[in-house]
Amino acid sequence: MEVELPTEYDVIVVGTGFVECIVAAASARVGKKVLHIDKNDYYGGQWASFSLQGMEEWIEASEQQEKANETVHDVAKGERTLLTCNPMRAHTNIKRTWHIKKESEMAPAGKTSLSELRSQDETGGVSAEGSTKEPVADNDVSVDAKIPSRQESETTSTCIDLLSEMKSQDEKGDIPSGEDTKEPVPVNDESVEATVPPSEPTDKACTKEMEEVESHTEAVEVVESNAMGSIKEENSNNVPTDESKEIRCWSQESLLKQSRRFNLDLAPKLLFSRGPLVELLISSNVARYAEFKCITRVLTWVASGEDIGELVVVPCSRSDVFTTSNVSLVEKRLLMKLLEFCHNFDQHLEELEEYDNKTFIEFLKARKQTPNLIHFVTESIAMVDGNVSCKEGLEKTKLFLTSLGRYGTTPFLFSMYGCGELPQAFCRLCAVFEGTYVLRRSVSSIVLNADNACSGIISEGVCFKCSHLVMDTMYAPHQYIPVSNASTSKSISRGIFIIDRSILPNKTEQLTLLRVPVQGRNLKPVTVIEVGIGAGICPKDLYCVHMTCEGSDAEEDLRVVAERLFAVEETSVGPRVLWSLYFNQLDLSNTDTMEGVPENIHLCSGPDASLDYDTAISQAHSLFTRMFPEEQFLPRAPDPEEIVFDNAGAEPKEGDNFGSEECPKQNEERGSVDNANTTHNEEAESANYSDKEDTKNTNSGTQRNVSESEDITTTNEFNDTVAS
Amino acid sequence: MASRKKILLKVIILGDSGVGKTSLMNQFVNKKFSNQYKATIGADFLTKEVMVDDRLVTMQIWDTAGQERFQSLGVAFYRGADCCVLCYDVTSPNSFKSLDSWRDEFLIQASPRDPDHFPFVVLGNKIDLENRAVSTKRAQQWCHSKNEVPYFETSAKEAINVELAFQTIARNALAQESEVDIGHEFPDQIKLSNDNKAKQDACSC
Repeated sequence: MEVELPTEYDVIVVGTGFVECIVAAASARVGKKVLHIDKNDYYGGQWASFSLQGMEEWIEASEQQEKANETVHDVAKGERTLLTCNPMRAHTNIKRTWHIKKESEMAPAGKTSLSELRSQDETGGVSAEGSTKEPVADNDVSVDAKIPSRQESETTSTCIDLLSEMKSQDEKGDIPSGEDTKEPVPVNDESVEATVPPSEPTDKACTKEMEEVESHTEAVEVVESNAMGSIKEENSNNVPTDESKEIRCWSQESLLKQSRRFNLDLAPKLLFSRGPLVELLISSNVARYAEFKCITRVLTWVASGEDIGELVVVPCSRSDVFTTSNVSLVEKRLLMKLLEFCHNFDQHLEELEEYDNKTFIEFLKARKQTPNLIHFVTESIAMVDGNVSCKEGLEKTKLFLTSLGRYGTTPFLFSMYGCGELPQAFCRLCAVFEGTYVLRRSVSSIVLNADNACSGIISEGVCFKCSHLVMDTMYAPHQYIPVSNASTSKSISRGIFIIDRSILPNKTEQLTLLRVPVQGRNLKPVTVIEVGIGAGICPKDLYCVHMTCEGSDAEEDLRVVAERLFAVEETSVGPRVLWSLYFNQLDLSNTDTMEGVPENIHLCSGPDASLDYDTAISQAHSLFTRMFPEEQFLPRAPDPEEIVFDNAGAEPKEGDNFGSEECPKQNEERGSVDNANTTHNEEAESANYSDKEDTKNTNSGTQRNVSESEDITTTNEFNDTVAS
Repeated sequence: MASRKKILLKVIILGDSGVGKTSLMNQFVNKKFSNQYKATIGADFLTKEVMVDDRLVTMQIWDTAGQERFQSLGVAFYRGADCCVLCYDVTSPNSFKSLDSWRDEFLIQASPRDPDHFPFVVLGNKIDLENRAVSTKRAQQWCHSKNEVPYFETSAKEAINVELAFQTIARNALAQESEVDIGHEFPDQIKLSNDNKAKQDACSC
């Protein structure tokens, strides 16, 4: 049954980026009538996650310059309209490169040199620079078994053809699944292991590989060699240089077949375990719509000598410090003392007086930290330039340390299936509170009344009225956010790489954060996040690496780091890049989006370059407060069990008791949920709500009962895990 | 095999607006029915513990929260579903015709590993009404053509076949769950909660 879309709302939200979604949820939560609309067929806007195919389509869409919709809509006297913009203007310098061949271009059964398989650069890009230039030493590796068995199908289609082909398959409900064994995927899961007979089951081959890596890792730990051995050296020392065993012959088709196993982020970010987003998710109960994985290791790059550095694991927790082989015994003691001090630095302010005007580095040096330790602390724990003030460094260090141990051994969480899930979680809350959702619907213009206030929008010829309009800055009319202005503002350089092994292989799969400092030829600090199947980001055996830094030329800005992390030459060990994407994203998070804009239009900026969500949360909060100063921002939503449906035909009850009490424990420090085994914890959560009045029951016909509040224990995880 | 683990099954209910998805859930979990049609509000997900062959499992049944009205369910809704319940209204031929597109949509968005054997269950609801427009035979044929999908004719209002249908849903979801244990080699994902069970024993010294 086709439903008519109502035309009057308290709040219309255009665009489903993260900030818009939070504001939409917050508005619906306090009883406002919300219409949430997006021209795309996916959620998230600039914050979206895509399947591989979805990403290809996004790239294609970004290349199409949309014609402005010039149709004039009749508006009431005294009103005028302003055309909205195409939100794709946020992205520039988009460059996608396949580094593997199409099946049709792969040599037929017979000897194929590795180099041919390794790299094929459609666009002539430089991201795999030099990868094909060198002749391969071990080009006698036979790939017979891996050559697609369906050569005869003459896949001469272009990539786009292939996409549409897959799409039509999708439509028929014939879902390509990489796991389907019947599929003639060329080398889907087959390991080209020279030492293992071709018939050997893949899993076994994999395990073998794992074991090797494992034993080799242990060996390194036991030896406790003088600090960090380069991973590359380690590989060449301990693992047979038989690199070929790790090479799986991916084709473009075999990757696209598993398209839906990818969730590639336009804006990858992490959550501090005690950061504002985690607290908001918990306090609002939106957390039930999302799942997370812990980042399992933080890496840093320690330069030794000229330009060649090495990847090492940063010891975060107490046990990390004990077990790490990267710092000496003396250093361990120093580091432990320092971390303990930083964690409680506000209790030792008198000791810090002398550092009031000094830098963080000076403080660290005074604490007798070695260069090695200073590097760890500044680059990976505080994640600051060493020249920031002592106070800022300490605060950042403390933020890191207080988030430790709540959910895992690093302070960070990553959203399962990509960061694009988070906007959707807030949308779900909005929908549960009666928000109306319409994707695939464009908004051609906004309507202003005689007082220059926004009275509504025009979408597909229909006028929708609203009291408040919330909008992605990129949709906003260019009178408000001029493109020329935008082009002079800040920009983020992004790189996404699909690779065939981890940047630092381990016996178990890791979720990795790496910050590459400014050093040598690398001119900007680059944030690197590596995720794989464990976080629902890639198919088995593949990894996705995200790089982010501030800058205006993504490919150039990230070149040095990409060259360091990935195998760029035939002979080098390291992950091969199968697919890469560079783009720049406008960063308007610091732009004044209020000047010259009517008071009831609220513009939301896209993602910034920072690692976490702090900017977005505070922006959403302040926009909401500006709209509804009297209302509470995302009070706790009731658990489903608290909603008891009335008997047939019952009228809504007024003044139900949900949220009627103030909870004094609102800000109390919360207990930790240390581990993964609490996944399906269905127990009633402690009721930390503080609705001043019930705002949500006018229409619902339901009666809500509140579960008993539980006591909250206060713990200090850092002391549990680090200090003694 | 993680058989000792608490078993939670995610079941999602799809179908056109107004076919009675929320009512079916509510009848099964709360044994309640409301005649007033409201486009789904406040209905989020409901949980109920059921016994399946001596195993206690928790069913978490997810409503569309009204996002299906304008075909705007996001991919997040479909994540990790163990069973998909397709509903139509036996008095509405259009809602029956939509089953195909709902099934396809599910297979695309959820992309289960084995689409041919993913557990669907079809419910023809509102059999208490007299103006029936879709015959049992027609519905059965459709289910037959989709690899023998179990079919039930229900009335959320009069609690006909609801219990039975959800028992089957639980059983089939459980079978699916134990077959596809892909996540077992990785630590479980984390659900954030304001949990008070702090790990006090983390410090051993």
